[in-house]
Amino acid sequence: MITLQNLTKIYGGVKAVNDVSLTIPDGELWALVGTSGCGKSTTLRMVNRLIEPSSGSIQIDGVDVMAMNPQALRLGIGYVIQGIGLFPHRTIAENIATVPRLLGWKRGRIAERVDELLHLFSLAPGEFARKYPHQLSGGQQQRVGVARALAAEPPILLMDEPFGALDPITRARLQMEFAQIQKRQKITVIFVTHDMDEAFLLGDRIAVMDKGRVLQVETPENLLRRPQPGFVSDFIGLDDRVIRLLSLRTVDEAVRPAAPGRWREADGAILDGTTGKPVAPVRPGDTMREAASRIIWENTDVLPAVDAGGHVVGEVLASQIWAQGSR
Amino acid sequence: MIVGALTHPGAPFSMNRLLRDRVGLLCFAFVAIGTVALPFLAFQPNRILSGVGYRLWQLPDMWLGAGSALLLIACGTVSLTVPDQRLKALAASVGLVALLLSASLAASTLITPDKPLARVSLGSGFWIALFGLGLLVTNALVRLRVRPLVRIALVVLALAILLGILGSGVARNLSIMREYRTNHDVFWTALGWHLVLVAGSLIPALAIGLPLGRLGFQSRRVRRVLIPVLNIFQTTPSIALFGILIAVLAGLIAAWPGLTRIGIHGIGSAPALIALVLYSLLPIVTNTIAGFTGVDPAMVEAARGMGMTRRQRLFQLEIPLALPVILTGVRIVLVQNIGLAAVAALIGAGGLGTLVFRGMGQTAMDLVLLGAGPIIILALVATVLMDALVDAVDSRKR
Repeated sequence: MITLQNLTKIYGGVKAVNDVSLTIPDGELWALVGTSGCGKSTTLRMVNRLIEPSSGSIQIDGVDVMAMNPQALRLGIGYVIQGIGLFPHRTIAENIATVPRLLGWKRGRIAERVDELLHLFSLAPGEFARKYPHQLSGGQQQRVGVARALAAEPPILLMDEPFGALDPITRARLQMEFAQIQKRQKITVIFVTHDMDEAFLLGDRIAVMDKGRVLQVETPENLLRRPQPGFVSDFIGLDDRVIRLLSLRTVDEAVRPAAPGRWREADGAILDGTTGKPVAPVRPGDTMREAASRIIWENTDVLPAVDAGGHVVGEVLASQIWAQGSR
Repeated sequence: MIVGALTHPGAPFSMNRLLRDRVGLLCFAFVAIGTVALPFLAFQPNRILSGVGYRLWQLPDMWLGAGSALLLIACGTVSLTVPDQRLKALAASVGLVALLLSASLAASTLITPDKPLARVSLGSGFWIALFGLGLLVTNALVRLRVRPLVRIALVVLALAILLGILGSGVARNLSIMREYRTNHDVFWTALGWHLVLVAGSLIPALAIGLPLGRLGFQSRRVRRVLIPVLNIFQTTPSIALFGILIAVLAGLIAAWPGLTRIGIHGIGSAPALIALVLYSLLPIVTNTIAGFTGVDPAMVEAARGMGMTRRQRLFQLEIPLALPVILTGVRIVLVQNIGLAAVAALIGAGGLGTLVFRGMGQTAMDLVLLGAGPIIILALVATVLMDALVDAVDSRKR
């Protein structure tokens, strides 16, 4: 658990971070969002003491970080930045091994851990371990950056716009991969971003910051449904909040049984039982947003739902999707 | 297709490719002109009188002369026409050895026992052919992108062959070798002092310049003062700086006579070393600053965030990554000081410059060459070795 209490940082008389208090439970990912200069990065960097607070306190599991040796503190906290900061003169394996080596792990244990992480981030060890960072694509480098931060199995990870420099497709893939790893390994994450979509996708909670203050802390759904008027509403952008609400849920909860013969399976395709025309079904894990756009595109009010094997298990009604998107 | 013909080792002979190799053609022209058209050797009745030029084919021993000319042109032709860069380099190297040997043997045919004061010096033809062949070798080696260790081995091999030929006595009748025999004590002392001046200035320059460079990198204010001051030293002509230092040291010694007891005098090696150190500082400091500036600050910050201490960041990240640029500065200093140390002879600091200035005073060109030749060789060797070192430590795998 990370507790920030009345955290303040003053630069030349200006409160870059102003009286911020947050309590982040273990295993959750909290997104700090806001415009540039709102103090989100400064807040993050005070947690591992890259910046010393002017006043207030930070506790990790009840221990005040100011009482800890800064190096020891940082060795126990993963840190990922947008620039990645891989060491160009070291191989991928050596880069990932950085913190374990600083911690004095045994050679064999380091090698094992590096292998494990390369697998975890879908980088074949045989192909990548001995390569140098410049031989990797931007997405691969960012994977290595996250793997390096997780190498010593830190319970806490600080991420400062880690996926900001990637193209949209690579970013989306990495976000999904990272979300799975984070939930599986129950890592507590503070994640700084100015990308609201990213915050809604990854965040268990979202803290919206402006001018050094935290204005609102909410779950994505509540933030969308009940944003504070003013900066928070403007920053979130209420025009497409329906779309965002639909992105938060999967269709799985909306699948209901279909009448026999309503949908037919033929050679792997799904046909409308009445018209005989092929239709694209929803699959497990599809978001309601994906189902909605298909419903609109097909100009229909119902879609067949299939299981992972592609067999019809039921159908999803447009009205159920719309219900999720309304107030 | 043309590119293919140029680079593919097994490519057949192609006139087109040949005509495109402008550097090669020029080098070959130098070899041909040097061996055929210009005086290869100059025969002087004694050390001072001006000589008579001999083209290779005008030598009394016609077989030696014509044979040498043919061999040299053959080496040049092979080096020009074979597509494989390794063969190019090899042919031109054989040409260089042949050049030295034919000059040596030809000199021995011109010197006869009845003319004990006669001298045979190297003529313009020899030098131009040397230049052409040397360029052919260098050009081929550059294109081969030889690995650092191999480059060092090649330099050692070349030096060994040169010293072997000169040491064997074949060249004893060349005037420069005669000059060496009469001055060999002075020569080795001068060479030794030269190296002492170069090394003796480099080490303090590094000890001062590296920390200054780091400081300059960290502080804008330091940089603003430091660079202009070092620039003033760098732009001061060497003779003037030596002169000023003589005055300064003389003044210091007048104030504290005890200084002479620890070996500091107004003239000699003390002002020379000080001047060389001052000249070394700008390249070392600017390259140190540039080296550290080239290290990605985001990477260093990430390292800090991961828990690396200042010392770990400096020694594991910043220095290894800045090293190639810093060493390039050291290379500049080394080559520069090998040249500047020659001028230091003027203030009595010793070194190979002594031979050069003495030779100029006596209008004995061979003595000048005896000093200047090794200076050039030292500078070349230093360049190749330092370049190899820079490549070897370039850990930023590209």
